[in-house]
Amino acid sequence: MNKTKIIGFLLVVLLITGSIHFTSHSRTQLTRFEQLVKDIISPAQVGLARLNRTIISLFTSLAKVGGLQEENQLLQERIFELEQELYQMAEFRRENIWLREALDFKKTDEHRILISEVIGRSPNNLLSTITINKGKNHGVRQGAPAMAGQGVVGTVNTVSARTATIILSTDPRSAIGAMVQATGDLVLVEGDSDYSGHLLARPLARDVELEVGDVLVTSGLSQYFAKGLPIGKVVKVTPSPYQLSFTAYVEPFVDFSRLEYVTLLLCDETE
Amino acid sequence: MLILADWSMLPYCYAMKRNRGIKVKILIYTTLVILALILQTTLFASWSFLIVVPDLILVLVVLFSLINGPTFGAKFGFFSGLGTDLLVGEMIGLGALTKMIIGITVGLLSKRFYKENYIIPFISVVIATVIDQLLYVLGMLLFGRTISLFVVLKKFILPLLVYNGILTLLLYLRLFYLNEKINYWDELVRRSR
Repeated sequence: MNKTKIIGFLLVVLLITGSIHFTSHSRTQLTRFEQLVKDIISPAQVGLARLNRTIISLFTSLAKVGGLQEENQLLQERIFELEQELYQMAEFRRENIWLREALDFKKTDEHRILISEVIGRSPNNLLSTITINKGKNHGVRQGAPAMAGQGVVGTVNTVSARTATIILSTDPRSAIGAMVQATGDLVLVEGDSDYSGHLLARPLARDVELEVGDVLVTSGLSQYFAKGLPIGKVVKVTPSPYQLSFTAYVEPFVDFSRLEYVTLLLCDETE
Repeated sequence: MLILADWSMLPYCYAMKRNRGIKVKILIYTTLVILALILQTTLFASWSFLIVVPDLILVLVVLFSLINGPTFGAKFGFFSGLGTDLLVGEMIGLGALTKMIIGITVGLLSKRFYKENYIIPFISVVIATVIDQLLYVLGMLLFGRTISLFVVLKKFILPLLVYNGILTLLLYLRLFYLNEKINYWDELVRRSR
């Protein structure tokens, strides 16, 4: 290797080190070049993701054909139950509005819902992120919470014109303010750095108690998440040494391996 | 791979038409990396039964570096790693650096084995997978991330070794002949100028 090559190599290493340092912390905006790369590649990702989904759903439906009648029966019963609950909810809602007006309560935050398709996942196994096909052009902003049908998926990390990257709540970098649905006790829900697929809940006060089976929902204290969005269910509680605190393992309501669509909750100001 | 070979004719035709000194090689390798990245982020990543995402880019870097040598390995490793980093959007350059080191190291082996031999490419990919992961984790730790090396070894390395190994067995000879074709097309365009 001659002298020029060595100097060139060292320069590249220096530039790369700077780039890694600059991009190793959370950023509010992507560079124009990154946005361009993501937007150029996204149509192909959309196409392939749709093709993949079609093939998977074809295989899944073929495998399910046998049990369809039984499943149909179960679903009919479930629909009946849910309809009953819905009537009750409508009644509660009407009562709630009336009581809020009577007490002059502040209106709860209204969110605009944006449904988006999952078009890609992180090519790196150590970072749990997904890419969706909605971006700045659709009003998506950094920090917007993402939900799937059953619960919280994560928050938007970076946005380009037509795509956005979401950090999943299972990623070790994720932290969500939560509360125990039954008691209202506050906890912090984080991604597990052991990549177990579970979330870790840590108490924010001394007297917080968690039990297996407790449901955790968002506390609404963070600037991004509205109150009461379901996160997961406690499956194990491990006391810390000297019994001063504990860590609870939470099984998320969302199956992160099968995410196809996510719903973004956008605040009015982001429109 | 046949499809890839057909697709890769596109830049060749384009270069022939324009005849303005576009390096056919660069266009084809770039197309290959983009295709591999799209495959890795969509198909491979969505097959949940795989547990981890196979590193197709690393397999390409190792195999092409083995065939073409260290200088090519450094460039190909750097740019394909950079492409991956840009899609990940974090720690941009770490993947480029690790893949460049892999490309150079593996490229140094290129003149010392028979190209039709499967064993060296297989072993190279297996060792490169471990080193790539270790270097990446080391980089993450150096730049302030908390990550357990033990967890990475336990959770990711073994399935990655299996998938990357299978990809190597499936792709090596096809990539070897594709590489010869790329060199042939490149030469053809150069002579036609």
